[in-house]
Amino acid sequence: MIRGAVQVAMVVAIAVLVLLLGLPLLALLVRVPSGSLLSRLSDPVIQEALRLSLFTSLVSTLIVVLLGTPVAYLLATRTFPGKPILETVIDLPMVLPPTVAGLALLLAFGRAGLAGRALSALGITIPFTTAAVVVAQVFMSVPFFLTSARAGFAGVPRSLTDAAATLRASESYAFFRVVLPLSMPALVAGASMSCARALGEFGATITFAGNLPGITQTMPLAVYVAFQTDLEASIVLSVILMLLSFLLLVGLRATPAGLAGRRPTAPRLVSTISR
Amino acid sequence: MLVGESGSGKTMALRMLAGLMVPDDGEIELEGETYYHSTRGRFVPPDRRSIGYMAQNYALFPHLSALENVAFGLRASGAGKANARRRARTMLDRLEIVDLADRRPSQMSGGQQQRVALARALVLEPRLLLLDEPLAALDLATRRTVRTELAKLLAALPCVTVYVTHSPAEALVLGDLVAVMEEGRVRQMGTRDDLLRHPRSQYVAEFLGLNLFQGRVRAHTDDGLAVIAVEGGDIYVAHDVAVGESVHIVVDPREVVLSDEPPHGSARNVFAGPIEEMVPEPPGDRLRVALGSRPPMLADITRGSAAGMGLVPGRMAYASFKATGARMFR
Repeated sequence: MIRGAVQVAMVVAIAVLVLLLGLPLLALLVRVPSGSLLSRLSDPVIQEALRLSLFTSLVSTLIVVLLGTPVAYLLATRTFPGKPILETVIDLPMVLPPTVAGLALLLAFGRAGLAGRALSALGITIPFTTAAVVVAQVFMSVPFFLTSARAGFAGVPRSLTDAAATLRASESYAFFRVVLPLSMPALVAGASMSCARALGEFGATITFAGNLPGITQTMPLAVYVAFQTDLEASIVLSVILMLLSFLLLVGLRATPAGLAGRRPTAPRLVSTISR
Repeated sequence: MLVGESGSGKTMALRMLAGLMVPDDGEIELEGETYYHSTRGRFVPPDRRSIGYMAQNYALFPHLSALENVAFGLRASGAGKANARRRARTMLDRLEIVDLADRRPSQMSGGQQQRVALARALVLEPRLLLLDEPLAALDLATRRTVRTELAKLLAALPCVTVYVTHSPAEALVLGDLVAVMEEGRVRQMGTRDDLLRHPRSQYVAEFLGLNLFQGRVRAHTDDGLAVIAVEGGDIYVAHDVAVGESVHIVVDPREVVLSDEPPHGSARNVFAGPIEEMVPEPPGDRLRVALGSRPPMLADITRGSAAGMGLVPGRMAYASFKATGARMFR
C-alpha cells in the first residue's frame, strides 16, 4: 500500500517536472518561424551578440580555469587559518542574485568605486566595456569550476600522492603526472559548467557592463531587448542560445567520466579513480 | 620485521621512516645520513630519501601502465624517457613480469600488482625498502604462493627491508630480526629464537604464542603427507614439499586438541607429556596449556573442558592436531 503510494508520488513528480522543464523548450522550438533561423543568423545584431557571447564566455572560462585550478588545489590539499572564510567568499556568487552582484561590481570597480579610482588613475576603465562583461562572467561562474575541480583534486587517493613522493617526485611533478590526469574529468566538467553559466549570464552583465550592442550586449541581453520589440527575433536568439547550451551539455557528458556511463559529478569521481 | 596488532603503530612507524609523517621527536638515520632530527630541526622530505615504500594496497597509478608505473620514479628523478623505460623494462624482466608491461593496474591480479609495486620501488635502488602488510590485500589462496615467492625475492635483495605485518606467523617465518610493537612502542626486538624462548613480557609471549617448529622433510607417506623431522619427533603435514627441504611449521594453539587419554580420532599428530603450565588466555573463558611433550606443545582449551577432564598441572595429557591444522613455510 505504502509502496504503491511512493510509486504514484514518483510518477506524478516526474510527470510534473518533465512538463515544467520540457514544455517551455518545446514551445520555443515549435514557435521558430519556418526557414527564418538561417536568414536571421545573417542579421548583424544577432551576429554581433553571438560573436560577443562566444568570445567573452571563452575568455572568462579560460581565466576561471587558470585562476581556479591553483585555488581549488590549495583548498583540496591544505588547511590554513581563514580557510572557511575564503570558502564562503568563493561560494557567495552561487547564492547572490546576479543583479546584486553586478551592483557590487560597479561599486568596487566603477569610476567612483573602491578600486575604480585607482584604476582610472592608471587609465583603466572597466564598467560598460567588454572587459566588464568578462569580469561579470568570471565573478558569476568561478564557483562552479572551483566546486568541481576541488572535489576532483580531493578525490585523488592520498595513497597515490604518497607513493609519488616516495618515488622521488616533487609536489609539482606529482601534480602534473598524477593528480591532474586523474582529476581531468572533474576539471573538464567544471569548466563546461562554468562556461555554460558565463554564456547565460544576464543580471550582473546588464548592471555592471550595460547593454551596448557590439560591446556589452551578449546573447541573453539581446534576447531580452528583442523580446520587447521583435518577438520573432527573440525566439530565434533563444533557440540559438539553447542549442549552444545543449552542445555544452553534450560535451560535458562526452568527457571520459561521462563516456564511462557516469555523470562527471564530484562524489562519483572517486570511484572512477580508484576503480 | 615489525609485528603487532592493528593500531599498535606499525604503519605509522613506517610512514615516519618514509618521510610521509613527521615524528614528534627523535632521530631517523640511515647509513650515516640523518633524515630526521628533532632537536637539530632536520627533516628530509620523502622524495629526497633513499627509501622505497610499498603501501598496503600497492598504490599503483591507475592511469599508467605497469611499465610507466615502474618508470615513474626514474622520470621524476630526471632520467630521460627512453632511458627510464629501458631500465623499467629490465626491472620488470628481473621480477619475471615483463609480459605485464602494457597492462593497467585494473587489468592485473593482486599478486601481479604487488610485483609491479615492488619493481617500482626497487628500480630506484633504495638503501631501505619498506613493505606495509604486503600480503594483506591478497586473497588467502594467492597469499601462500606469493609469500613463498616474496620470501625468496627479499632474501636476494641487496637492501635492508622493514616488513610490517599483523601476523606473528609471518613475522617469525620471514624475519631475521623481529620487533614486536604494542601501543606505539617496540616491546621486544630479537631473533625468532630469542623471542620464542625468552619473551620478556606477557604481551610478547601471548602475541607470539604459537607452536613453531623448524625441521627438514624426512619422507612422504602413502596418503600424501609430508613427514617433517623436528627436534624431539616427527610432524605430519598436508603439504607438497620435496624430501630434504628445510621448512618451518606453525601450529596455532587453537588447532591443538587436548585430552586425558589417547585420542581415537583421525588426527595424525599425537604427542603425550605432562602439563607444565595453565595460563588464562583472555579474552573469554580459555586457558593456554603448555605440555611438556617432545616436541613441546601449546594448546588452548576452555576452562569447562579442562575441569571436565580433570586436567591440572603435572598430569599426563595428549595433544593432537590434524595434518591439515599445521601451516608450513619454506
